Amino acid sequence: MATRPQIAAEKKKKIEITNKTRHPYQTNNATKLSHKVREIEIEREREMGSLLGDWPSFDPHNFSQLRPADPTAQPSKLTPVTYHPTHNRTIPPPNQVITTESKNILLRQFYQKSEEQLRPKTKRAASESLMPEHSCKQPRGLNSDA
Amino acid sequence: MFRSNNLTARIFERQILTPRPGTSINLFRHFYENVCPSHTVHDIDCPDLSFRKFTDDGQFLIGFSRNHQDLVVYRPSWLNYSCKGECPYSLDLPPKARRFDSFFRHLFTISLASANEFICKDFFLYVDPYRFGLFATSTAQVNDNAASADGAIHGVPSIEKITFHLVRLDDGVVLDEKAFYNDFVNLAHSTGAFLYDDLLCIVSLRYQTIHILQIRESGNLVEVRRIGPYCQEDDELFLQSHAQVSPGSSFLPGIKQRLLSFIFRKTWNEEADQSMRVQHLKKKFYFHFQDYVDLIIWKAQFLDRHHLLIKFGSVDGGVSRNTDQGLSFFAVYNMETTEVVTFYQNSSEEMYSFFERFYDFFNSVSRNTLHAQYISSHTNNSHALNQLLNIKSKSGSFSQFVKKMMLTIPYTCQSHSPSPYFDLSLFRYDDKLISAIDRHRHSTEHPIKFISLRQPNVVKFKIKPGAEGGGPDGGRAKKVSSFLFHPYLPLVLSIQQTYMQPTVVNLHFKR
Repeated sequence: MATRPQIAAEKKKKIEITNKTRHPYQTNNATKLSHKVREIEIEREREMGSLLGDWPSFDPHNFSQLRPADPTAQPSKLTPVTYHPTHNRTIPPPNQVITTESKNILLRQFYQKSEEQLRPKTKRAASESLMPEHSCKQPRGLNSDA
Repeated sequence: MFRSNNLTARIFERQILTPRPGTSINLFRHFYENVCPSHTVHDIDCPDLSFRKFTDDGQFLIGFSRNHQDLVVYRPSWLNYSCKGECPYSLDLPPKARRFDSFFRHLFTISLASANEFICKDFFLYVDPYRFGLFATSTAQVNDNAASADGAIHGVPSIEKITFHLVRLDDGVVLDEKAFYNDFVNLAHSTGAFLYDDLLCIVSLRYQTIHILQIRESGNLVEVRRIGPYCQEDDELFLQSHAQVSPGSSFLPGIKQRLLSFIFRKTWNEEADQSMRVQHLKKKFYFHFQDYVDLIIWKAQFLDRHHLLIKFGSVDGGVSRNTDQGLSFFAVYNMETTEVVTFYQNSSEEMYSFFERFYDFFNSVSRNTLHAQYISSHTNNSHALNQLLNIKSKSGSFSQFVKKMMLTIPYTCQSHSPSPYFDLSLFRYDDKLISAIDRHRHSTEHPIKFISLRQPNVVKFKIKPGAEGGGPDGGRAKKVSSFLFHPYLPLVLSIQQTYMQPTVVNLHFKR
């Protein structure tokens, strides 16, 4: 990428060239010269791929640092940083579908209490407490880390 | 939360504020703190009607004629006027403002009741999605305590004819009617009926039946189910074709069968020791067997489309409206499986814990109706919960307190006004003088103050129900007042009725 001094030097060189090749009968047309310089600069920017293309700008060196976006890439399709879990304890079951429970919470409480009321109570209450309450939870150490 | 109390500042803030997810309506309701009924027109010149209420979507004002035979419907609108040249804010309102029809446009008057019938003034249910209104007319009540042959029970009075009318409120066309003969339905304050979406349940006390009706979009009232003597649709056919029933004996009603079998199974499973089970059953179940059989249905409500919450009690408490804190029971009944899900006594602590934690689910409406989700209760509002816990700690006996709270269950449909001025997260007001429940109250001479919650010293607006200057007799006669709040406009009608004197109607609105 050309730096500013280089651009300035090239500009100067071009001006000198045009000055030398000027016909003696040609008038000293400063505006013609500045146009030519401008064209060169625009071409330079285009080569560098300015984000603004050929939009008019106060200083063509503004935004010269920016790299243009690839026109084929969509900004929404940015690939996020991927995360690889180190264990498989929190993997959801395959083909899991999450839906809203049709019974509201009050009815769920009623049904739960009703099940408790109608469940036959046995004298061996101690053995019941050994049964795990949440069968979905797995004890640690059974699964080896992935 | 808005940073300032000033209306203009709040409007600017609203342009840039993003409320927390799901709370945008809660936040914008705070604008009602700035827009309050500030001006009162006392004793507005209105037709002599008994106004019932504004419909919950704010589209109609329902009133009945004094002879209880006609229905009159108005549409609430707003006063508009113009003045020449500069219009300073302090300009007096034009005389147009004192007229009732500047605020309400008369839509229609239809006659619902024929010669010997009367419209029940207290009964009105609004079917929101279709804009239908359900009204009830009845003939005179006959206190006939003798049970008739066809299954009516003792102790419940009888009305010769009760008719439910379904009226389309847009134009006043009576779409359908459903009549009950020699029956009794508790029509006061719509307690005998419950509307859930398009399902209507009507409790017939005399025949101990719950009628489930569906309101179709075309306006037809279709009977879907009848629960009471039989639970399933084909029970009656089955019994008549199979059972050899001698004339003397009879089966218990279907719902009673289900209830007793549930109580039996529950009592059987309560006792762990097998040998003691029969004893336990004798003590808990068979000893009270006749009491259970004698229970009658008092009230029912929908919990969702398939479940009913039914309140059972003794015969003498069903009709009277006194707050008798005797024994009553709650049962949850599944209409599809015809099973009783649970059964509780009214002093049960478990039932009270559901009441405290899930009261909003007793006020069951489908999720489509937006306004009903913002009615303050002790479940969704911390101030109301504090009030409840205060009462709980102050009450002497916990079981008495529980029984008193259980009087509000089953919920009475559409009894709370959805007006944001009753929202306990916005305003504080005296519960005894005015509240969201539309009941008549004894009126006081002092204006009723609504104080903003966030600024405890600022009275946002006052409602003075009486006539300007206290009335001609100096306020000695007993007065009863009722308030009709529009659901979303700052418009309130306060109606004061004095014995032997004309009714005074005041209009409170924001200038």
